[in-house]
Amino acid sequence: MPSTLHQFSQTVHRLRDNLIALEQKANQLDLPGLNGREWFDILQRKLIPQLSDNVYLVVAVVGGTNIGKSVIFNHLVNQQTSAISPLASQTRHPVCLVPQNFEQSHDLEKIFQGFRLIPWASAADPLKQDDQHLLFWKNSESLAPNLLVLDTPDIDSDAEVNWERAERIRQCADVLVTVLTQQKYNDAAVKQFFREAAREDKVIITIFNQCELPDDEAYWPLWLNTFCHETGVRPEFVFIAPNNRQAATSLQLPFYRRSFEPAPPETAPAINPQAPEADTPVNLMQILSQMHFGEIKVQTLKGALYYLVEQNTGVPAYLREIKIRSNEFRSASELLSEQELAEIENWPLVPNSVIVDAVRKWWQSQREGWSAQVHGFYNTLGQGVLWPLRYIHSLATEEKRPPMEIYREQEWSVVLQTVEGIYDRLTLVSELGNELLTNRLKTLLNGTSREHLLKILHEEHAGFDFTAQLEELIESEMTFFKKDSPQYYTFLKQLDRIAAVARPALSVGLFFVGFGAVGHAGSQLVTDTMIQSVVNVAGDVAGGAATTTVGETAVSSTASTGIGYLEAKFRRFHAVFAQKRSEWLATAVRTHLLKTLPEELKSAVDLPNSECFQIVQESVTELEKQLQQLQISI
Amino acid sequence: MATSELAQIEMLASVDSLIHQLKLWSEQQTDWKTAQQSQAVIHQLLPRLDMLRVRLESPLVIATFGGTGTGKSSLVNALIGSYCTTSGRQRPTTTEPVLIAHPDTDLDRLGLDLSQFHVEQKKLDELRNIILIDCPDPDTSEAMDEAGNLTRLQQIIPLCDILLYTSTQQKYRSARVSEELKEAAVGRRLIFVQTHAGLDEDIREDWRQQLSRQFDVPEIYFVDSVRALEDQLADRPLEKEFASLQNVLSTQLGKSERLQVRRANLLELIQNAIDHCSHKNSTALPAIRELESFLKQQQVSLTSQMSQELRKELLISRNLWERRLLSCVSDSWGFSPFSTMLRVYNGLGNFIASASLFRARNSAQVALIGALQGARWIGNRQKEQAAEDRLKRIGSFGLDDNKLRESQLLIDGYAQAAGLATHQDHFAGSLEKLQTEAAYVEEQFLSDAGTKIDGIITKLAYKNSGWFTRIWYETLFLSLIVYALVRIGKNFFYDSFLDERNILAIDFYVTAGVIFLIWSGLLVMLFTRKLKRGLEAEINQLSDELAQAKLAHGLFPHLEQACQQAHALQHSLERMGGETRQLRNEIASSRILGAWKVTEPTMNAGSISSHLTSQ
Repeated sequence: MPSTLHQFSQTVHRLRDNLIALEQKANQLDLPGLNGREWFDILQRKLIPQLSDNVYLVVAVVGGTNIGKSVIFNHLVNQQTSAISPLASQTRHPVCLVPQNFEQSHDLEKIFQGFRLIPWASAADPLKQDDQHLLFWKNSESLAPNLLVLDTPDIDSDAEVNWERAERIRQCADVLVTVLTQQKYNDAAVKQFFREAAREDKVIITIFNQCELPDDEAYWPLWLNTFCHETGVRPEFVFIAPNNRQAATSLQLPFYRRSFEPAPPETAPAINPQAPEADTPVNLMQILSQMHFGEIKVQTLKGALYYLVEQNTGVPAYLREIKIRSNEFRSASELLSEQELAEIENWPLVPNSVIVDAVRKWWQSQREGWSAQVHGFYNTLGQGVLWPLRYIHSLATEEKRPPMEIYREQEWSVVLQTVEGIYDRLTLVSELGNELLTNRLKTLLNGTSREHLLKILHEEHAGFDFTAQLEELIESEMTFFKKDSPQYYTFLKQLDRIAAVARPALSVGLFFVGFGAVGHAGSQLVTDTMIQSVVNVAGDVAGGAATTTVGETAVSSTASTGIGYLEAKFRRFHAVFAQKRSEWLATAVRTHLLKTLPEELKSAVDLPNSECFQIVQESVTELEKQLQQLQISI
Repeated sequence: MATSELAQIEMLASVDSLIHQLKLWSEQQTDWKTAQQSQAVIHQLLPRLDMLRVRLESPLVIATFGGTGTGKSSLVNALIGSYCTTSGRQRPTTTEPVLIAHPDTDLDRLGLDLSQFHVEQKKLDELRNIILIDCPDPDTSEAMDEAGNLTRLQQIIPLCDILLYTSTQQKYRSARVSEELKEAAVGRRLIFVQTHAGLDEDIREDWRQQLSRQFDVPEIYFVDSVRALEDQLADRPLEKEFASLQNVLSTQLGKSERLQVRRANLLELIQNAIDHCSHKNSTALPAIRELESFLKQQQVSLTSQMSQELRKELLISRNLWERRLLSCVSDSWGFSPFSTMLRVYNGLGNFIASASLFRARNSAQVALIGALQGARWIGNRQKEQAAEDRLKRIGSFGLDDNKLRESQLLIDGYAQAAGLATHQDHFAGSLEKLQTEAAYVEEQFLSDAGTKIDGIITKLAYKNSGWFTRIWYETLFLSLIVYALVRIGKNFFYDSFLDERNILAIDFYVTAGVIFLIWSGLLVMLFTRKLKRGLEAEINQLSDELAQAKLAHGLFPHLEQACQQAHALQHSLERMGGETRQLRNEIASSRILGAWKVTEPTMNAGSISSHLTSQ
């Protein structure tokens, strides 16, 4: 390997490894993968294998279908290696002639990545129909050392797999023997193929095949000029070959060398209808063998490196693409975060009697010793004696459902309303035109996933033991209260009185926060225990006079002595219970309705800050710097 | 009139009716978004069909089509027999299309924008029936741009009737030209020509193989245009292949063939549009089916829930059963002592029941009281009150707000996925609407149940009150009365008169009255018990029947309708598609002209619309 380029090898390897890591992460961005991107294919097929290897030259015969590529290849290597046919698109796999002992010092698999290598057996090999990309190779004694010559499939037929094979060969090639004809030199597919080749700075040898000599002697410079102008190709050598089928099949086709200098299309090159004086056919192979391999290698590798770091088509373009995409995700995520997912005006209240019962129960469990026993005795006795009375009472009035069951039903109704509200909101968001969200939300919003969500919610909801939950809450609140305040005994005594008045109206806001605190939603947060979904419970604690939120400061805002304080305390039971319940709802909605959407959005947004993204960026800058230095040193 | 002429007219009529059907189809109101899109496509197509029908009689427009350098211009020159359009070796040669017509042909009627063309008028007999257009190539332009050859070509293609597709040994498998041909061939006949016969080898067999995947290929001509032109200029005899191609164009495409070609083209356009739409619809149909099956599932659970609830309530309402059974029996028995007794009991019961019904919110009670009587009672009340009553009642019937809200939520999701358009917030309608709908459904269900209950009552009443039973009960009932009467009569006429015993004291009558009440009550009770024999089994059977009975519609009638309509639309589209295919097969089979194979599934679904918009 020319030592000048050796320094690049390491950077290129690092770049490749990190690109692959980045690609995996970028999967969630719905971006097309790396394979199939020209610069990445060049990186994989040309730079990685050839930067660290000894100098060898890959020469490929390329061009449109049925214009005599195989014929020219056979002439080049002076043997019928590739079968020829009057029918189009017959060569389906590339054939490679390899100099003697080349394969012992080189790994052919590595040079022709993406092909399955098969030793050549007959000229009909490349005509095989096979879905795999095959490459047939054969040793040749006559070949100059370190010179690989290939015949390739076409680039314009209706068998599109052929194009791909030809493209793969183009990517790793150094010299392209470009076959043109008067019918095809201006075809769109052909032009596209060679425009890429020109941008990759390949060395190009043009052969105008099937010329009607001497008539076409005047035209080929016009044709070639159009071709060069359209594609940006500057051919190193130009040959023309006559239209002579018989000579073509018997390896007798003459190639005449012509000199050509591209001119601007306005000033058409002077037509010289006369053939040069001494017009003897040349030996193509001889010309190939005399080329400066080292210089050509440096040129094409440099071309490939420039292509790789090019702003508009290379790695920078890919990185830009990721950034743009990631920004789209950010705006999608913001769109979702800014919306208050649901607002519940009247969260149902646990009946006061239930709370009072729970407090009494707690109180009973607090009694100790003799007092507890006496009370326990009277309680049991009272229950026994009063049983017939209660029974009669229950017969007279209609059968009454337990208050907690009514609460359960009310809460379920609120849950449904909330879920409905969220679906409406999400439908609205999905119609705002953010494509990323729309596609993702679509599946979340369809009937099956709704059914699924309702089922889960229903199960979870039905499974809750509300009474136990309430008792637990009372337990913790009262224990705290008892320790903290001397008023707790008054509280217990006045429980019924307080219960008669203390019914706050609770409204609950349900937010989703993507990451960090976004917008005004975040500023209102009371608890930050939940990262992804946030509940905001507001209760009008003192008859609308003071609105407070549940949190550490809830009671203190109305903390005065006396009954007002106790009322506030009682309201706090309501509010904290509602808080607990709505937190459950928020979590359930997030995990079962939004599923992984928030995480997906978040990691997509964070991608440009990831390590591999940074390394890729750095590697590109480094490559650019190295290329600049190289330029100066040369 | 000749039979062939009649057949022609018949054919015309069926084409007309097909277009008319399409028009009607595209005008149907539907909430299904996919169908709306399909309708838009058809809407776009219809004016073009009209244009084609207007042009039915004018000369055929034949255009060359093929890659650059395949000798399109040379072929045109050779066909005309003179240098008319420039052929050359620079690619692309032709950028401005050349139109060649007979001076007598009225070009304005064709609907072509003549400023696009270089018009040549030649006084040649061959041009009497045709217009030749030499087109630019489709394969030198890389991207769609205003000035490109491809754009120019795509503007001309929709106006052509026949494409003269030229290719060469080098180009016959060129992907780009094939792509364009695929699009251009729809609604046009094709003639395949391999040119450059002087230079190239004959590859027609391979070409035919490639083509026949997508096209009907009757014949491929292999011609040397340059030589043919020279031959004509030098008055030498023409080569056979070329002569027959020239003959096909100038003579065989005369008046009779012209109609055939145009109609086949017309049908092909219709066919393509229909296939496109129907393909689109059928990919969207599974979501509709999903919605439908969910609606059905909802309906089933609704009915089973209602019938369960009804069964429970019917089993509880024993009093009402008795009253209905008794009144049924007493009505059928007419006047007799026992039936009068039954009527009295029943009347008393009804008096109490009628007061209680006003408070009754029990659905089963309403059903049980009977459609007729229930309606009469309800009818006496204010209608508003009744409606309010219904709404309250459904809660107890398993259709509470939560249930309704749940199904609303789910239906919303399914309808959204199915792509039904809505003008409200919800596909399923607001909750109030849903409640009304539920009340309506329930009422229907109950009236159905009421009829069935009536049947059960009559059945039970007749089964358990035959003549034998009647006589038995009448006798038992009368025996007490007779005994009392005899006793009283004897006492009054005989004992007190002859025997001079005391007339019966008031005590006797009180005792007799009490015994009579007990006796009659006992008999009525026994009788009703007999009547109610097998009642429970009947109720169970009834609830099973009701659970399986199909409601006229569920809670979302407009969605059910929309689904049905979606199917109907797709069905009629498919039917029209079949009709078109059949008509086209009758018309389009030709020995000379090739065509796009309609049986091929439309791979490029966007083709028709892209052509339409370019118009």
